[in-house]
Amino acid sequence: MTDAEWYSLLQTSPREARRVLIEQYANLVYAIVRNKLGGVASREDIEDCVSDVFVALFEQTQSYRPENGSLKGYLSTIAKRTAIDAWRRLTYRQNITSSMDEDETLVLPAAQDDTEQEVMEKFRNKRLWEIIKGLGEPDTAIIIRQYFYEQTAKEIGNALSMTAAAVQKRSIRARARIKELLQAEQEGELL
Amino acid sequence: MNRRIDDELRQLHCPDDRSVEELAEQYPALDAAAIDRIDAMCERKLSERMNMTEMMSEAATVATGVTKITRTQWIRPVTTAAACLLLVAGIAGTALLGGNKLPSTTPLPVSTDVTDPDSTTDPDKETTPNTETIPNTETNANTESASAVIVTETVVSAVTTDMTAAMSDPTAAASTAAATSTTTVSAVENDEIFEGLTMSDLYALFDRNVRCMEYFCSEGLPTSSETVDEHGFLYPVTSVFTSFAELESFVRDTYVSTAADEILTEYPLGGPLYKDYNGKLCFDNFYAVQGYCYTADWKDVKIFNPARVAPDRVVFDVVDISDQTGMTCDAYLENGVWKLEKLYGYDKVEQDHMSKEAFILEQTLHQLALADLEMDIYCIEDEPLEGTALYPVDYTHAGVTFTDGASFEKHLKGIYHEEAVDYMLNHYIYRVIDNVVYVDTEKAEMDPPAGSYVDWREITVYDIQFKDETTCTFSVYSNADPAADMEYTAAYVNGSWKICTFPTRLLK
Repeated sequence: MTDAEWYSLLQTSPREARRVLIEQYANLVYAIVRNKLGGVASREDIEDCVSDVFVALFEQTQSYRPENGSLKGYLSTIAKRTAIDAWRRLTYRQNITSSMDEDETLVLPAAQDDTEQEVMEKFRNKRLWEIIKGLGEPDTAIIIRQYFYEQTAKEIGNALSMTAAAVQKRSIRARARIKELLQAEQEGELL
Repeated sequence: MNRRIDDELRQLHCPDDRSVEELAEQYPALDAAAIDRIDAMCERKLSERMNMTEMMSEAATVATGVTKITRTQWIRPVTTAAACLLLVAGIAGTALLGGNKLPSTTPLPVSTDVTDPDSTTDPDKETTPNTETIPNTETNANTESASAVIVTETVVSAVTTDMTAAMSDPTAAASTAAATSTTTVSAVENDEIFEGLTMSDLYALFDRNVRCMEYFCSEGLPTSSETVDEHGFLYPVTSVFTSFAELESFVRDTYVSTAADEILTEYPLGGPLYKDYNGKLCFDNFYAVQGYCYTADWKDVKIFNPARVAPDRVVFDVVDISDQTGMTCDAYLENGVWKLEKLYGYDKVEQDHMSKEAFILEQTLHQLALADLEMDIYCIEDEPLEGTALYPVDYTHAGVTFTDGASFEKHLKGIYHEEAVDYMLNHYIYRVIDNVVYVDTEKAEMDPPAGSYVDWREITVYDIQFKDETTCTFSVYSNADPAADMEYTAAYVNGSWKICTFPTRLLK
């Protein structure tokens, strides 16, 4: 459904429009929120934050017009900001002292004034992604679902039509492969 | 940096926005049930916010003049400072703002002197309870009562300028309200919702709900630090309630029977959080929520809009003033007592949660596998048994707990099935002769290949499959080296699980 079509539906059937929007963009919003809140929030917190994103959008639909910009971009911005607010609230409660800039993607909690460390962590994270994507299916899907989305072996099995045991075994082997590749790169850098 | 791969993967984040979008498209995380959940959450939140917005637009009635008394309107939930001002003045907010705590579980004081503008209510005055005795708790429930107080314009204006200070310093509002209370009086009509139910009753009922939230969903009842059961889950409760019957009575006096049944047997994680164990009220840690985080604790609340929708049902709104979160509650009249429909403020956790039996089995198999993996080719003494390749185990340096053949056999019987023990004592790398344990160096792999060492000190059990009621297979992998895994068969014999096979990894 295009933004203009959605906007028309919103005028005639707001409830249906809300549902359509959630079905269309919930996964994107979830991924954005998880990317900000991973490590500090449970899945329930992340889902709660996702619902806050949509509620924030629904409350602002009066001011939204398709000609002003894409709904996807609008929603993504709201998602990032809502996730940052949630991150601050959760880490305040957990007494985490890391700082977070709106425009940066948090990789790991970095020591203050340790820019070099932060850069290395970001590089390693990027490299890790490339290795994971290079594993091939279904291992890439398994690792992403297990570690990024924190899904259980059973949930992953349901999504990929595999048994939980098969998911476990493939995950073990995939992680061993990732470890080998990372170690090989590290040794290559040291040489 | 040398970190475990698991640690690195847990810190995984998309490096940029485009990666996030690609990820969401190629690997969508949410199934239909999750979409439904999010949709329902959105509708609930939108509905709550719309209700609050509507209510904010309807201001409470404010009496005019200094001496004229009017019946207080129930103040709608508000979030703006101006509206909160009316709230403070409309109801003696000394307890609601000053204490930031709920009033006591006892009803409000009743004053009939509504014509004397100089008479005041004493917010500290306690009244005769009209409900069953509530056990003293260790929560910080405020024992002050919230009195219904008539608003006058003088009071409103006097408090206006102090509103901002009042929100940050509750005592300021209390003293301000008290200073101008010469024009405020209490009126019994304003506490009663209808015959048989007062606002105090609702506050008392919701207070019990908040306590149940604490008991079942957050801190739990105070317990001792020592467990009393063999599996180490049950902690005796040390205060608040002296028996399970007392706790049960408290819950059943708060919630309708179906909700009370659920709370006592499967809240919040699908099993009974409290139970009677040998006559003691115990907290079952297996069914406790770990690390639950919520923003509203529902201790600083305001109740609005009580409405009798049926002869035995009343609906009312509750707002957590600190968190500015609201919800609607239902109460039913059951056997002459008003009770809540369910435990409000925390939903039962709907997630895959292993049953206690399954967890205990997994832990048992975990311990068995660890014990098996600890089996080794022990340190031996220098001289073999004459004419053989059997070397006695050097108990002192072998790092083992057994000291002779008998204790070694007992150790094996704690891990392995009888047939496996028999084999291990007579045909395996071990031999017991005259109560001395020997290692057969012709059978044992004395020089394992380089790089074959696996750190088995921490393992994970997975893939437990039952062949029948008393036999299962399972696998374990090393947490340090996930590529290394072992498969086992275990049997339930004479009241305990045993591994059916001996470790072949030690053989040449």
